[in-house]
Amino acid sequence: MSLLKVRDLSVTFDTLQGPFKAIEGIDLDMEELDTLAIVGESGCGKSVLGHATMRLLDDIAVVRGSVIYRGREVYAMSRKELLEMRGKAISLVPQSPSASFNPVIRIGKQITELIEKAGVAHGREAEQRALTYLEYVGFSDPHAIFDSYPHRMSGGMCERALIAMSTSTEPDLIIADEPTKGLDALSRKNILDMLHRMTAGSSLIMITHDLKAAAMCKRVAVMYSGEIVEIGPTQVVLEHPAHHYTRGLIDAQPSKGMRPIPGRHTICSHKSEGCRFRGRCDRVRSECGRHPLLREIEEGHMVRCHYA
Amino acid sequence: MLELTGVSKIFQTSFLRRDRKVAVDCVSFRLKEGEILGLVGESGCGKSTLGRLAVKLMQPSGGHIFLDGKDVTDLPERQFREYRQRIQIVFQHPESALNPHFTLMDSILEAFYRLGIPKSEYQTMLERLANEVSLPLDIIDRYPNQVSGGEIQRAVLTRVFAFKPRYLVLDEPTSMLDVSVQAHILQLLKKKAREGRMGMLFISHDLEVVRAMCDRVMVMKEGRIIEEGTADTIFTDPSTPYLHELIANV
Repeated sequence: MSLLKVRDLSVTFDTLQGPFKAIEGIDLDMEELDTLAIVGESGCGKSVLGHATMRLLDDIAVVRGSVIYRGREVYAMSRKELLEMRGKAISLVPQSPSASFNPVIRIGKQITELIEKAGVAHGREAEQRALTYLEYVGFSDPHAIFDSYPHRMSGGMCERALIAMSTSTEPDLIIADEPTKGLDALSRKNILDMLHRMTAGSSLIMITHDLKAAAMCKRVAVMYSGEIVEIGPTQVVLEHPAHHYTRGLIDAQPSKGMRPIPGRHTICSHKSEGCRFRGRCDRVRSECGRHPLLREIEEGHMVRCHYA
Repeated sequence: MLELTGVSKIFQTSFLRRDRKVAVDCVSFRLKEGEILGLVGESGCGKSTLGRLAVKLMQPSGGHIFLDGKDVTDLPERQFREYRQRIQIVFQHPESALNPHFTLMDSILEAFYRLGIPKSEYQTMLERLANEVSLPLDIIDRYPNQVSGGEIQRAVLTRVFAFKPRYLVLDEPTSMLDVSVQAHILQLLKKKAREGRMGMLFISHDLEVVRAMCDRVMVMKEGRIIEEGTADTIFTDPSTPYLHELIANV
């Protein structure tokens, strides 16, 4: 049985300008100990997908489709079951680490609280566990961090503390949302190495727009305008991309020629018929007026393009 | 030429104990017109402070700043104003770069107003500048929170280029942007430096970007420039262990 199964997941937000479809028709399968990177430009829906998987979106979001965690439908769970699942079975490492902690509670207390709520350990034992995990993520003096407030720490330190917190309950699946955003080159490398070391015993979904960070995962899914346009083993997708958008992202990297993708990423509420990338694609043909389906072109490699 | 000689900045970090932090420690460099000079180093090494000192957003604690041969270090703000147009700065965070109560157009027109451009020329000038940085005119009536980071950064550049600066300090201009938007902006800056003969101090911690953009590179650590050279020699033959480590970690 697979760990996580997402089927035909769509999220629509009710906005003043009318309904806005953030993601549409997402299918995903995660096995035990699998690592998947979700890449794409800002606004493509990758964070919404991460939040929808944990049923964290608020009421203005209309969610259709299903998310099945170990055979149980997440969207049919009671509140109690949900709270048991979050943090203990599936953990989220949210974006903007400094803003994710409660500013008026010491770091240690926040981590201990999660460990106790998840029922992993209690009292002194929970505190000890929090300290151990702070040490695992590379703090040389975990006691000092345990007693500090979030504003005393830099972005990289908060990110590490967040990862310590999310992994301290040993969840089956960790969803990390942009763990390296805004960090400098050295801390980026440290965080990525550490994240992979800490999640060695669980599955990982890493949401990122950094292709170099994505390269550390086993599989990559590329999202464009709310849809997955390509998914497959990392090496195959990054070295022999089949979708033109993936190709464009790779070529836009400074080390690969820094060629921008023509046009701009439009976030429109009315998804028109046809391929969503056709306005920016240089190989657009008549067939592209028809909406392409995600199809398998080789073992485990799926592409949403008529001409791949 | 923009020239800094022995520039330092010391911050007092505690009022009572008189603790001091030397953020920039006796830094000298020259930036020629049409040249892109990279400044790399990890967070907290003083690169942003140096950028702010170069445009005189901060007063240096020591040293001198020469702008086209004129010592502007101790010029009072009023007299410095005529020089300010020659040297502009672009900040890292696009979301806080513009006044949130102004539309993109208001922010750009404010620059025209400061420049004393006649109102009748606003429209043509706006179109020309927006076209140059490929800022779509249909989003120009929106507020900064209604457009993407890349679009704000384009609006910022439109405003900056209106002043026709000779030198530009870029403080991590693309670190918050997506890779394809980043490519757009960087290509544009490169073209501007080459064709517009603009000198740029390019501050970044992304060595790949620096390598693709810069002619010369300075490496900063703990407030000092510890290594300097052409981009090729710096990256292929780093002489300090610190830079070795930086390059190995990319």
